[in-house]
Amino acid sequence: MKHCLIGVLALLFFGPSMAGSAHQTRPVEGLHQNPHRVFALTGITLNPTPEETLEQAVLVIRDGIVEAYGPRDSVKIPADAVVLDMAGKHVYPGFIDLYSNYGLPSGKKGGSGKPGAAKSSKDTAKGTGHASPEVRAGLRVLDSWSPNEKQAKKWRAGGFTAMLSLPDTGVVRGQSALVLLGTDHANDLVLDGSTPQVLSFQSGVPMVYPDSSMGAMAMIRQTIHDARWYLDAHRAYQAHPEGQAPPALDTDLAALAPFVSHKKPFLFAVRNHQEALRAGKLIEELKLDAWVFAGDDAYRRAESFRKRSMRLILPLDFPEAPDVADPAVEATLDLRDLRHWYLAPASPGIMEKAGLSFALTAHGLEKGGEVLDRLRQAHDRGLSRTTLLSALTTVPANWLGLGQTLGTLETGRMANFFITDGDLLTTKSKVLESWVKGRRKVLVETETGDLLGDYSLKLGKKKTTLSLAGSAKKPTGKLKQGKKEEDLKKITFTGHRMTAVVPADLLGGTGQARLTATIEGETLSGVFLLADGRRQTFEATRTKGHKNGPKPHKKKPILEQPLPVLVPDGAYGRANLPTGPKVVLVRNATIWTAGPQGILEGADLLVEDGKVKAVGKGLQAPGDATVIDAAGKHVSPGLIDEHSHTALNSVNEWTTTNSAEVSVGDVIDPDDINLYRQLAGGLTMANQLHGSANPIGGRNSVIKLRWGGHADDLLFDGAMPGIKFALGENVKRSNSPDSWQRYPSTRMGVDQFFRDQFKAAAAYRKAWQKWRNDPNADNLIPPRKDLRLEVLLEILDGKRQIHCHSYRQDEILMLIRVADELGFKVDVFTHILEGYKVAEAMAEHGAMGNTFSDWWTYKVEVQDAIPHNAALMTGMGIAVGVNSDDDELARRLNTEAAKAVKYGGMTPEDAIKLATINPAKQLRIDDRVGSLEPGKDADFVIWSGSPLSTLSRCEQTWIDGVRYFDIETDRAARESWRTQRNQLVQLALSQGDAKKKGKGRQSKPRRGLHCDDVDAFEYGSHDHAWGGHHEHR
Amino acid sequence: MNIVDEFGRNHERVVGATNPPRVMFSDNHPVASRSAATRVGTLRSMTWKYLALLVALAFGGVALAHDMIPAPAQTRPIALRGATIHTMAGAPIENGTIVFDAGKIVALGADVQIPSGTQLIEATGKHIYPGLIASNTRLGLVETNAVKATVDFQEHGDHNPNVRAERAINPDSEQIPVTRTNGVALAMARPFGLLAGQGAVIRLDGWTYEEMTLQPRAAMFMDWPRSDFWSPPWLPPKRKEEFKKKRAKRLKELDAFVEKAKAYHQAKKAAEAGGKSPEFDPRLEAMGALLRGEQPIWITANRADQIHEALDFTARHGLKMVLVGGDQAMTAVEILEARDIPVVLQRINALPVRRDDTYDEAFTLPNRLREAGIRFCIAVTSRMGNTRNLAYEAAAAVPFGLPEDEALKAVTLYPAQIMGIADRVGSLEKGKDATLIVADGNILEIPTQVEHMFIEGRAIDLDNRHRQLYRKYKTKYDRIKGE
Repeated sequence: MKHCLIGVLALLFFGPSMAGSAHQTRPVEGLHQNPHRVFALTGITLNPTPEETLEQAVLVIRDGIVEAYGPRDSVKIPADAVVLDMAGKHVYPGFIDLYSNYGLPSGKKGGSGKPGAAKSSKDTAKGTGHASPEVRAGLRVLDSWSPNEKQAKKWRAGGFTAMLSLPDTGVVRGQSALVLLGTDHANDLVLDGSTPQVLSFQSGVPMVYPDSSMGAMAMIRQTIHDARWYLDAHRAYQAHPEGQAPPALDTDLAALAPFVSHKKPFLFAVRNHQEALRAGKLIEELKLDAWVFAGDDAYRRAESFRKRSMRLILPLDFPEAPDVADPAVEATLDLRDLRHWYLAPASPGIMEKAGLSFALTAHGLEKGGEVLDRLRQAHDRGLSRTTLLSALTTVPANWLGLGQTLGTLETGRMANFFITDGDLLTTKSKVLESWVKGRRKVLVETETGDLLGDYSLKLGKKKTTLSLAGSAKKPTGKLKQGKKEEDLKKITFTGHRMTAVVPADLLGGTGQARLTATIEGETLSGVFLLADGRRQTFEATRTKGHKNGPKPHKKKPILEQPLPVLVPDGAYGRANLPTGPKVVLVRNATIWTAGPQGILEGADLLVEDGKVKAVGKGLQAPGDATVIDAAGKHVSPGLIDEHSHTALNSVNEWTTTNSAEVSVGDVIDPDDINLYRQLAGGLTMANQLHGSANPIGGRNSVIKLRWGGHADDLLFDGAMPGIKFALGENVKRSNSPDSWQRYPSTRMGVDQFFRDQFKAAAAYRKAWQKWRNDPNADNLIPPRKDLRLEVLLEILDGKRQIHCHSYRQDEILMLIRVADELGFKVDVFTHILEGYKVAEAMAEHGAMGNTFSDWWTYKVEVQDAIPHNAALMTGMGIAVGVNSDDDELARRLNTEAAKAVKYGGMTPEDAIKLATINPAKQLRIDDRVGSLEPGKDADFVIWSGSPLSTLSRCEQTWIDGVRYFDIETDRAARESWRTQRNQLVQLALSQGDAKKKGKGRQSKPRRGLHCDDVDAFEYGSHDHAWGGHHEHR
Repeated sequence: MNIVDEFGRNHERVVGATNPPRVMFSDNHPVASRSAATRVGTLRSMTWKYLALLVALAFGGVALAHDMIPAPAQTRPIALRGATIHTMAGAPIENGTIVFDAGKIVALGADVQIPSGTQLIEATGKHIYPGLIASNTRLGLVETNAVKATVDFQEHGDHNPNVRAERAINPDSEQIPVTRTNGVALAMARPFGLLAGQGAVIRLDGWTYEEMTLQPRAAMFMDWPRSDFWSPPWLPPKRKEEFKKKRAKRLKELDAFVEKAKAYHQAKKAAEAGGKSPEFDPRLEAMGALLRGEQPIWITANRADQIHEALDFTARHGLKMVLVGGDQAMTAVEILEARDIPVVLQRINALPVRRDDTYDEAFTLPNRLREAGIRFCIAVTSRMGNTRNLAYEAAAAVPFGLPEDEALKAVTLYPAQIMGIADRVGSLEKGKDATLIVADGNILEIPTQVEHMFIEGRAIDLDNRHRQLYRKYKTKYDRIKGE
């Protein structure tokens, strides 16, 4: 019966004529249509809110709104309601997806045709929008949005009834649209067309500022400041137009007003957990209301998210099982990736346990069925039912400020819901129907499968069974009489009518008989048409039914032992950050103090509370001290690399000649395995520098290699702020194509550029002073905050030091003269391969030099690079260091320093300083680190022999009195990493065929498995073009 | 012979009744001309140097020639006495003496008769090693990577078996003296590319490439196409497919090319018995030695999948293979052993391939190969002009398990064996070339200075552009300081 009813209802309430009925502004052509829309769904298992489940419940809907709900007895079914008997079905509030592109024009290649994608740098020359094509705040998705029935059907099959459609290009991307997945006209489906404003760290237009994620972050900062200034400026002008030039009109800045004044939220559309945490930092810094997409790897730093109590959007698009069938292919996969495949489905559960508020998104999935499948997987792996349901209903509804309208099926809410044939999480249920604003969409039509079973009838007087089996798509049938049986052939089902062909023997005929029948509920009535035209009618009753309802959900196999998340996750990660003993005594070592004590043989190093307490012979320590017998070993201060790009996700913001507003500190990657590898080479500190693509580069950050910590834990408190400058071939783009040329393209131009920039900074300061000192300041348009120029002011004020990439003597001298003229200082020339030619000028200016030990010949400006550089500069009294500029070379700065002994005859005692106290001086932190002297940080390395020997190796590395690397521990753990890999490979092998059955999406690159690659991309310019950085040696 | 190094230390004295007039040796030896006694000569040569430099700059900004003068042939026996001789053919000889004449070693041992008329060099406390051999270099084929005009190591196209590295060696490359100053006497100069061409073993001294070439056409070279494709989520999936397709096409064409070469040489052979010879095809013609198994093919492959593909390729075509790189060679250890395929390790100071590889993966690889019975040698493939650091690459494996004598062999005897020139070089034995170095300490240690180099008995000038510039600017600061 019910199957028939569905068909009729579909016709009655779902015809195309429905579409126009709700419009309040659209004129009616022809006759008005006013269908009656009151329904009572009975016999359902109702989940009105995430917390509640009501058996045998009723849901009453009137004109698209929930009128009543509750257990059968508590609800009075209105007399005018059409009653729908839905016994055995489950009803859930419609899901809301906050991270979709539903209804956006699909566009052509590369996303052009999508909202805003047409904007290029040329376009910004016209109109009144923002100067940058990356700032599109005024753009509204709504203006190019339209309902898409095909897409809507797909998502409704996943339970969704509302989606937020986001603009997808640029840094400040524009305004999203919250839409219903109905099939009405767009006027009736859009709930909100101007929120949230989407931000991202990924630029949309190539070759235009910004091109790196740190550049995008800088752009967001400046744009938010601009938007707030824009409000103030226009207010000031409107109040006092007299005597003031009007501030410029900028429709994009104007569009940001409600967002920067906390009336509407932002949404950060970023790529992974690290970017999400960076977004969290920006949210705090700029005081924004925002939600953040956190990537499928959010579990990797759940604790960091918790500390920021961020509003997150987590994806359900978990990675597919990796293909490990071929050991040679497996050999190229990382354990971290294997772990990610395994842990990603547990991510929502982990975030729940961390107490975070989050929404879930189907972003990245392609079918509704996949959504339900991933929900069950997340549930299996620890996500509670309540949190799961709220993450798709009440959480997004409340964030949208629509908690009274969407998210539950309580009285008064919009009747957005879906109906399944079983429990969502414990059975392999399907979405049968999806209702939006009280309008029904049947997704799974009559289930032929429901008609299958054994029917008993009498042919003549003989008891006969008509048995229909197989599947709905491929039914099989038999006619049985005692021991005789005949197969039914050519079985067809059309709705409830079936036809088949069967040999007529059992019917007492010859040849083939044709069967036509109708099935209603448990009764099958029909007729056999025999070869001679005789008709034999019958009525049969079902004796054995086809099993109704979905199969129970089977969990995917998991590892026997739990796999705890590590910091950072993957091999060499730790369960917890290491801590140090209160007192450490290293005894009987040869200690290279790099301080006034020189090299001491048979000496002890006493460490207390993370600081060096004493260095000398026969030191005593309390009984509970950790004592290390280092007889035959050597101890040196932790090595310091003045020129590193390790643990950064981007290095160059090359699109502009001055990127002072950009900071590599924004994109620290604490998960970079090279941190660990460098610890194993005795490195304890690194100066992370911006690249050398522009004369005024980005700001630096100084880190300690506290492996396991979050980005902020790595930062060395109290390091002097710095910035990268660069000279020579890279900044004048000598090795770039002609089309990339810009000013300056000669060393002459570079000279002029520096002067001009600092003059502009001074003028900027004057403008502010003038405004501040004006007694009428409150009525005047304030100057616009310029983050770029403010950094230059810090340099002029001596609050920020310069690390200048430089090679040739003329350019070194030039910058010294510019600095002398404009009143700032160049602290460190880095690389400085011709420093040996102008060492006296450097010494006079007070500049220091940090050099490659022996690189040369790879380009023209390094033709005169000589390995004696360090010794010659040192000879002129300059504090000299050796640097790496390379992830690998940073593992052996000790032997790089040894080259100064070979080339130039430096003493070993001085040579070790090239990698310890001298770089500390260069970073202006030599009062804290760089040598083993009482009161300094206990950063030290235990070597198997002389640190200057190629035949020695680093055995332990300590930072702040904490052992961060220990060769014994490292070796002891190796077996466990191998075991873990083997276990995960076995598990993947047991599920590996999914792709071949066509369930996987092989053609699509898997997000998540490539997070690290994503980041590596931005290295791709200038000095860093060869697989990370310079190829060395 | 007096050698004053940059520390001002005087390393040598000439002794004995058979002592030749000191000046005679000095005249023959450019290094000696930098002793204090011949300061005038030094100044003169420096003037010339700057003239040469000016000329070079006028021709495009890159110095085109160095001014270290190639050594003359050995004219009389030379004996080095009192040193520790690391022969690579047995235990080191303490307090040993080595005598060579006409470019060949005539005697070595702890107790050696020094023939009269021998130039005796006292080397007490010094260490003597065979000249180091760099196995996988661009030496002579490039001056400055960033300047295309100076780059000659990669010919256009995928199939260039006919090109020969030695024909493009610039004997006046500044990189050559810089490299030999640290003890590298011989090098495999090799072309790069898919089927890149033929490499040659060169002596790092000589007036012309012909004088420099020790072994032309020493091996065929190939760089196996990379198999990893960086595919970020936003890159259209098509790109990865395109990459795979293009790669597969290149490999297919490579196979087809080898088949063509086989057919060509089969036809040539058939023609010997009468019949029509195939039309001359330079590329196919050049494949003869390789196909006959007379020439090995050195294939660079680092990732496991590349290595296995390359092994399959050479097995299919019956080629004698040497694996270059081999970062993940341990995944193919059974095949390498069964087919006696040696591994030329391209770098020891290298980052591991995978994130979860041990940090010392590359440091321990030589010893793991050794323990598995795989032949290997250690190379340094530098674009930073630092082939000179060859010994330190080998040293990097020592604290991680490789015995020190094995590290030395890995840059002397083993490369000679893999290159097929061990009958002449790679170890210090009677009858072999007198290609050797004298150092003031362990050659594996950075501060050690190489004091002499002999290539086939010829005393090599160990000065170089770096030392010249050092002296020049040392002079500047000495003047400033009033010294």
